[in-house]
Amino acid sequence: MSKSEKQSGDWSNLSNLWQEAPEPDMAELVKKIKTKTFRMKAIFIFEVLVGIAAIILCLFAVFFKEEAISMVIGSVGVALSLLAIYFTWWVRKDIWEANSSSQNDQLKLLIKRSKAGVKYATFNLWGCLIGVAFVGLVFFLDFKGEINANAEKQGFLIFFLIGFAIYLIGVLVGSVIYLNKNKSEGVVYRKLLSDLNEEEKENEDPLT
Amino acid sequence: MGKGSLNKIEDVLTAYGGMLSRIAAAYERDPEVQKDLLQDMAFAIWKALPSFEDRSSLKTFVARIAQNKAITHVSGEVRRPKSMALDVEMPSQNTSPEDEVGRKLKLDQLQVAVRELPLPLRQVATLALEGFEARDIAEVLGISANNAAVRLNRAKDALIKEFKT
Repeated sequence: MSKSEKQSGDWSNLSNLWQEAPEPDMAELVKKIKTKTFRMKAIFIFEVLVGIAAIILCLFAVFFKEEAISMVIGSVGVALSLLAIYFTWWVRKDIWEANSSSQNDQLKLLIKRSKAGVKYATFNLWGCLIGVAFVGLVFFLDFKGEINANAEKQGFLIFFLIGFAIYLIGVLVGSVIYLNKNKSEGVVYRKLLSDLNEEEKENEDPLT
Repeated sequence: MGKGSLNKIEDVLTAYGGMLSRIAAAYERDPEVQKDLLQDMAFAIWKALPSFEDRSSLKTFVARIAQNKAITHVSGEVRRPKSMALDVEMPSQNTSPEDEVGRKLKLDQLQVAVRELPLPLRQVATLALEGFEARDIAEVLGISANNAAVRLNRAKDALIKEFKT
């Protein structure tokens, strides 16, 4: 028996063995796909709705409050909320596209995703800082001079600040984890892309 | 993406679910994470189905997306520890429990050997074990036929050698 016939026989045995792996539960898989699609859309819609709610609140400050500063803060709030909605769409626009056909393009898409992830996390971190400054300014202007005199407002302020601090810590910790994850994935994908392309060059027939 | 593509994905998964599951097993050792990877593959196929044209076979199209998706998994694989208990449970109808367990252990051994291959060889080995020829493998991976043939020979040698030792 020649070496290639022997290899062919051995390989055929391995191939048969490989095919014996148990089949997965397809009905469950289809159900999970539907759930995942729904979840992705729901998160996107939720983020847009939060942005719209923020715009409505800010518009209320612009049109129904009498102080000039409310108009300025409201306008800034509208601009920031619009920016956040745009960002929510922008960061996803490439991720929702259908898979490209070549593995190089697929890896490039992944690198793009990890970059988008880094941008998203950075945006969140800066958003937190701006949010802290913005909320601080609003409270300073709104409560100025009457914080000690008004017990009701004082209670509301403490309640709000505790909630805001919890939210802020959550976003900060989540963003840092997400940032690091995407950074390390980006490094791995770039290396993979470079390795696969190196391999392709090495195996190219010099006569072709 | 309409209801039509959702119905079609059910047919695709019925026809090629086994292949997807085996490709997932070639990239992930943890059965629970394998399920997640399989889900990601199925999701990616569902997203890409509307773009399927009859230039290649549906099997090639599905395998290409599965392979591409499997690459996304590599970064997670790097971070996780390598220890994994073997699952020796397997229903039997025709052969003795000893034979079944023996086959299952061999299959686990083969999956481990495939996972141990360097990525470029693992890609071709997985497809060749699914019955793809070098030309089809080249098409799936978007590489030259020559490169696919070279990789395939190396992968076969490595796996056969591993199984003899």
